[in-house]
Amino acid sequence: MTAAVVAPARRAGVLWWAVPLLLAIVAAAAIGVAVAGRSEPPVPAARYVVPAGTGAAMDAGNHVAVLPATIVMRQGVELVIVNQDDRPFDLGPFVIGPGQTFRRVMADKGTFRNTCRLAPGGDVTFVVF
Amino acid sequence: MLRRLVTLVSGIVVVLAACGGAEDTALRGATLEPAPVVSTLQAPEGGDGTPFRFVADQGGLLAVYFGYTQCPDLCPTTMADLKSALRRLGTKASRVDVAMVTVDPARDTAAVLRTYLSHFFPAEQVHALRFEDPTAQKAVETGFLATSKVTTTAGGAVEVSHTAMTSIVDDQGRIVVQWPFGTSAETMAHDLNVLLGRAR
Repeated sequence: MTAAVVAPARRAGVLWWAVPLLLAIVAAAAIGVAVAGRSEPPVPAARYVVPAGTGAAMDAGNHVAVLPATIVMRQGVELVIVNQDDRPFDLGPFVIGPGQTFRRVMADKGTFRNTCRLAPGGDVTFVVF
Repeated sequence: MLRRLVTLVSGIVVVLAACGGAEDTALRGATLEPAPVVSTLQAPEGGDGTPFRFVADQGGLLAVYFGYTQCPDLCPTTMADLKSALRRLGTKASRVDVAMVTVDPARDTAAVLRTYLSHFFPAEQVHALRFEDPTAQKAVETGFLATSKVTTTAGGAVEVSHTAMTSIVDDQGRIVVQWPFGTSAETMAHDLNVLLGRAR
C-alpha cells in the first residue's frame, strides 16, 4: 500500500521540474530562429544622403562634405548611400548613379581608403573593426 | 505524460527550425537600387565578332569583367578567385557564365583572350569579348560603370589602367551585385549561391 502512494508523487515531481526546462528550450529555439532567419544584417546601417544640388554646389566651388573624412564602422554594418542628386558620384571603384541607393555590407575588418569627392579632401577612409 | 510533453516540445522545435530559414541570404557585395540595366548593350564575341548581349541564360548568372590578358596582378587574381568561387558552387557552377571584355584589344586577339579564359573556366562557360571600335567599347564600359585607359610611354612600354570590378548580371540583364578587387572567393560563392537560389 505504501509503495502505491509514493510512486505517483515521484512522477509528479519529475514533471514539475521538466516543464520549465522544456518551455525554456522552446523559447530559446524561437529566439534563435527569429534572429537567424533575418535576411538583413542584424546590425544597423550607416546611412548617408547626397542631397539634390550637391554636384552644382561643387561646381560653384562650395565646400561639400556629405561624407566625413573617416567613417568608423563595426564589422557587418551595412553602408548605405542614397544619391538624391541628378549626377553620379564615385566611391572608390563604385559609381552611384543619380537616384540610386548604394548598399554594401562591410564584411572585412581593416582600414580602406577610397577616393570620393563627397568627402572633405576628396578621400574617405573606412575603419572597420 | 512527460513523454507526451517531450514529444510535443520536440515537434515545436523542429517546426520552428524548419520555418526559420537560418540561411544568410544578404548579399555581401555591393548593390545599387534601382539596379543598372545592361541588357541593351552588346559586344563582339569570338573571331567573327558575333554580337553578345549582356544577359544571363534563364535562371543563370553572368559574371562580367573588364581586363586584359597581360595584366600582372588584378586580372589573374580576380579570375582565380572567381574560379575558386565557382568550384565551391559544385554542380550549380554550370549556371554561371563568365564574360571578359578586353580593355587592351590591340594585344588581346579574340583567340588569345579565349585561351586565357579557358585556363580558369570550362570553355562552354566563357565569352571572350573584344571591340574593334573604341567608342563602342567606352559605351559598354560606361553601362557597367567601368573605365579603362591604355597609354604607351616614351620608352614604348604599354600601361593599362582599368576598373577592377566584377559585375554579376541576371537573366533580366540587371547588375545585381558588384565585387571590387580583393573580394574573397568565399564572398563570391556566397553571393552566387544566394542569387542562384533566388533565380530558381
